[in-house]
Amino acid sequence: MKRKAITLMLAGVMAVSTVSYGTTVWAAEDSVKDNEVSNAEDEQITLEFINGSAEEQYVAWLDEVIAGFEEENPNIKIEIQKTSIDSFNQTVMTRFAAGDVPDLFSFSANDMDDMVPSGYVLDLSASANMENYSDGMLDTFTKDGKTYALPIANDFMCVTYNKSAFEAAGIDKVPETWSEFLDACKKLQEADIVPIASGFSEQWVVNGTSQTVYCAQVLGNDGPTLASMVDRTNKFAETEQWKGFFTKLQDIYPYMNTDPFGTDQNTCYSLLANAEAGMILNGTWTVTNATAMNPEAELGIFALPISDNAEDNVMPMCPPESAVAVAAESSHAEEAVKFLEYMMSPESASLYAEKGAGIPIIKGVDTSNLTGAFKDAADIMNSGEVKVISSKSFPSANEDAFINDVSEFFLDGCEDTDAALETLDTDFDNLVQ
Amino acid sequence: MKRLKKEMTYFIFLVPSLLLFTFCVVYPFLSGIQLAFTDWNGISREYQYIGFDNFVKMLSDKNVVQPIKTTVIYGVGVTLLNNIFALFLAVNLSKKLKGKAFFKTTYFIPLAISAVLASFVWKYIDSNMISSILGRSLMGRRETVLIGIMIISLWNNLGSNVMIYMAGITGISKDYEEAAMIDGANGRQRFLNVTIPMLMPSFTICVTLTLTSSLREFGTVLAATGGGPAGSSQTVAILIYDYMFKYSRAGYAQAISLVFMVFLVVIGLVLTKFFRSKEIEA
Repeated sequence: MKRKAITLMLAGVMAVSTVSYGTTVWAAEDSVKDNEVSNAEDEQITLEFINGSAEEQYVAWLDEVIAGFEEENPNIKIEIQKTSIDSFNQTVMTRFAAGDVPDLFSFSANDMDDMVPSGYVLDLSASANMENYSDGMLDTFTKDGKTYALPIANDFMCVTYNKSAFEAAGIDKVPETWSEFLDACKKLQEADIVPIASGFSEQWVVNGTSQTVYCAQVLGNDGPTLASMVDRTNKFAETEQWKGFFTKLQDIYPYMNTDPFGTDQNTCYSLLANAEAGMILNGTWTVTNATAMNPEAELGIFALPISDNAEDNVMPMCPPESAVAVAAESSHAEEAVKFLEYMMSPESASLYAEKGAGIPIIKGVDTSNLTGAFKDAADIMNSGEVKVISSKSFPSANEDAFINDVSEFFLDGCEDTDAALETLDTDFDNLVQ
Repeated sequence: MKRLKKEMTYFIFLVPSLLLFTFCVVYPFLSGIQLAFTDWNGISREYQYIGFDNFVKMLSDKNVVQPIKTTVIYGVGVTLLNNIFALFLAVNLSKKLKGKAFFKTTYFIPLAISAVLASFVWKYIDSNMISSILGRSLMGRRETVLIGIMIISLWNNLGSNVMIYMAGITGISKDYEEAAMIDGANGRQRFLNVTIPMLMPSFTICVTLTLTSSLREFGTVLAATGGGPAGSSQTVAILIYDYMFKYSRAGYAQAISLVFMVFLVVIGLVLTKFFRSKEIEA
């Protein structure tokens, strides 16, 4: 009897302990699950973003965007790797080739043909941000129906002018035709103001000035695309618009500063900002750079009026060529896309405009806070007097050949347009071979 | 046994540098050779072997001709000017001269400045001062751009050759010069028949190093002109860089590098052999 009682008691203890153990296990499992959830939320993720743009306003905007994103997403930290624009491609490509990929990186349309087929860039076609862009604005980052990068703004090639210099030379309105443009150059020259400041000692400036002319004269004038010149479907010597391009260079050459190939572009920004030069033919970034030289400078922009019919002279604008992409091999691709979408939201784009970093191209942006030349740009965009053109950039090897040939044309005194056209054809033919 | 132990000790001291050299120079060099026989674009992880196609293409590549001309003119020009000026300065600085230490320091300081910084400084001088004196800048014209870059290179690198020549001159025993004086040799004769032959080991070092380094010139040209205007200052090193990083033709760039390296090795060996044959025993 005594043994039976002890047995029952032990059985009871075991039962109780089993139940209590089970409860403990369940409680412990729940606790682990809770911890897992909270760990997932608390897990600190650091996204590396290789940024190739060092412009002061852009950096200020980016810092503010990152601060806002990190506040909304405390578990994600954005780490910026600044790389100089000169060594940008080298740095990014070396890292991709070595398998040491960043999460996000500044991306150029020139890299589409190399990086996308290599599988290095994430397809962003499913992003909700896609609908924030107007038709054609993502064309340069789209291949086989898939979009690989999102841009914030668009630079375009135009004439940046100093309003005070124009006033001093007695020019009372922005030139609307080619004759008026040359007339304005003449007036500036007579007033001892350099009509067109050109810093050709930097080769990209030769390209920038050429682009300003050919965007209007060729691409915005029903001329062939640059791609068709590269694959040799069209020849320079057989294209009227390209003949016109060299004639226009001939026309403007006498109005450039003496020794343009011995002058750097910073000197030109300074000349323009201080009303010692009237105009610079280059991208909209001229405004930011010249303003940095003299914040008081009164600058404006207008489309290069290549035609003598004022109505034909609208601002040629091609889809943006620089954007931000996400690495396909990023271990935090989802978070990287989340940041990219935040960065390219209409709210961030409004901030971009307020900071004076550039002309945002995202729908829903309030551009009323823009001033000076950026106000001119916004007005042009809002007025709709814009002609969307195909890509304005040649591939690197063709671009270098183009810069060399145009430089030779200038250095030879812009005398023989036929020879320049033939040289371009020969060089482009050689590149195809 | 004792000797072997001693040699082993020496060898052990060499091991760290040998490992570093193997890891940083030998291995990348050897693994890079194979790329010259591929169509690698510099970024893709896949590439095809295409045999000697890159080398064959090089023979008919019009873009290679101008950089070779530029490189040879620049290399020979810099080597001649650098050594003439360095020798002139070294001879004068070896004499009893007031403020000798000041001049030595002055010629040596630019060596401490990077090629990029030197190029920026001279670019400024060229476009703001030289252009106002000559009416045109040196580096803004195809005809004079190499002269402009040579001036930068001379200013930047002259100091090391001055030092080597000065060390050489200091090492020449006064006995030879005194003997020549007793024999009635004038200053010019003493310089040509005593100083120059005794300086041959310095010439071997200075001429060979200056020529091979100037033929490889990259930084100064890239920072000063970027190869312009109109490609007139593009050197072979810049061409290789362009093919490698701008045109995404790394295999082809590697092929040019290999041929160029062989050319530099041959030049170096020939020059060394020539000057060694002229060296005399003191």
